[in-house]
Amino acid sequence: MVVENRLNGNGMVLSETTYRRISRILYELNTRLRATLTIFADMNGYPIDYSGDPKNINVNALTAVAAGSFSASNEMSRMISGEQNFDHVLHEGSRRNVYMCNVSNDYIMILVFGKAVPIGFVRLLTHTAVGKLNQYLDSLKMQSRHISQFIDADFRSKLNRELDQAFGF
Amino acid sequence: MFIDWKNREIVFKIVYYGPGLGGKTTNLEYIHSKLNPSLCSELISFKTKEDRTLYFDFMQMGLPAIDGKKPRFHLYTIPGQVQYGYGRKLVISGADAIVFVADSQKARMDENLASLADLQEKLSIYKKSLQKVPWIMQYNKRDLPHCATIPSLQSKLNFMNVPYFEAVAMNGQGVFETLKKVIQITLSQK
Ligand SMILES: Nc1nc2c(ncn2[C@@H]2O[C@H](COP(=O)(O)OP(=O)(O)OP(=O)(O)O)[C@@H](O)[C@H]2O)c(=O)[nH]1
Ligand SMILES: [Mg+2]
Repeated sequence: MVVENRLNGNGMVLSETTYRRISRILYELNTRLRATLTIFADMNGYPIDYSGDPKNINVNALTAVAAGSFSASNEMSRMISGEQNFDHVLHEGSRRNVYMCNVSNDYIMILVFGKAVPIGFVRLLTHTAVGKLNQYLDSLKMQSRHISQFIDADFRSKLNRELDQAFGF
Repeated sequence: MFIDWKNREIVFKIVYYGPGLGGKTTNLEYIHSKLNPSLCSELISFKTKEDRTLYFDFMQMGLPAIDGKKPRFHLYTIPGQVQYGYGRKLVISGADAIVFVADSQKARMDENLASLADLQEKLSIYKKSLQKVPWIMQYNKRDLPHCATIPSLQSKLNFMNVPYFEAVAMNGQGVFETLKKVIQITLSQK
């Protein structure tokens, strides 16, 4: 698929080069931490990329919920301290922890890791990874282009057939 | 919209908006119960004890690859109750298209209008508007007595003349028709 930095008004498309660089950073972070899963997502809850083995975790659903929860935590801190405190949130589970932190205002990192991994270590390495990711955020920025650049009439008519089949029409 | 390189997916976000108790969650529940499980994720709901949406409902629907690209749809509902405005603001962000689920009962007309105004206000936070984002209307609960007529609903609520569907979400009537249409307008946005 040849889609280089093309976007519609509210979407985003990664160039393959940027994508590979981000993948690499996530892979290194996930491996060094021996984490279960490391997800880089946008604040709307779309996973951009992840590293690790999701096993029975639904990455899309987890990201949607994590982005919501992160955003709610920030709103809570805004309510009590009066400022937007974009930083990090730790959720301690019985078997695994989830650590979330923002990457600029628009993206979020979500790490799922076992209880044996020290939190301080997670913070430190994630902080470094976020610093590296920051370099590529500009190339994630969207240009206003039209969706028809990669969805044409032919795609739409094929999609209609798939929908009819899926919906039993 | 988002393109996922790893999995060659094109992902769209579709949001069901509308007043509390209008039937948004019921739409998603019906879709989830009828779709082939291989096409959708589990349905995740943040609910109060009374089954009201607290934050949002979420499910993903996927279709087989078309020309090497897999279309994916993230379906969300918002919490209709007035006090959960923050959840609405969160969920509407990045929406590619919207289904407005109106309650057809005459007595609910003010709530429908207030929710439309709220939607416009939430969109404006992201520098969007009902004039720019593709959306459609679903007149739900057509089975109930004391429903407003379609011409009356059209003149009161559908001021932009967007496509509309009559529905009884509880038994599935109009639910997939609405979903198909909103997907079509998502993909054909200008
Ligand atoms: N009679 C009738 N009842 C319906 C219909 N659709 C939904 N309901 C009922 O209306 C009630 C509210 O439906 P929900 O889907 O939870 O409403 P909602 O829009 O998600 O409400 P909030 O989460 O508070 O925003 C439930 O008891 C449904 O069973 C319909 O078409 N006809
Ligand atoms: Mg609901």
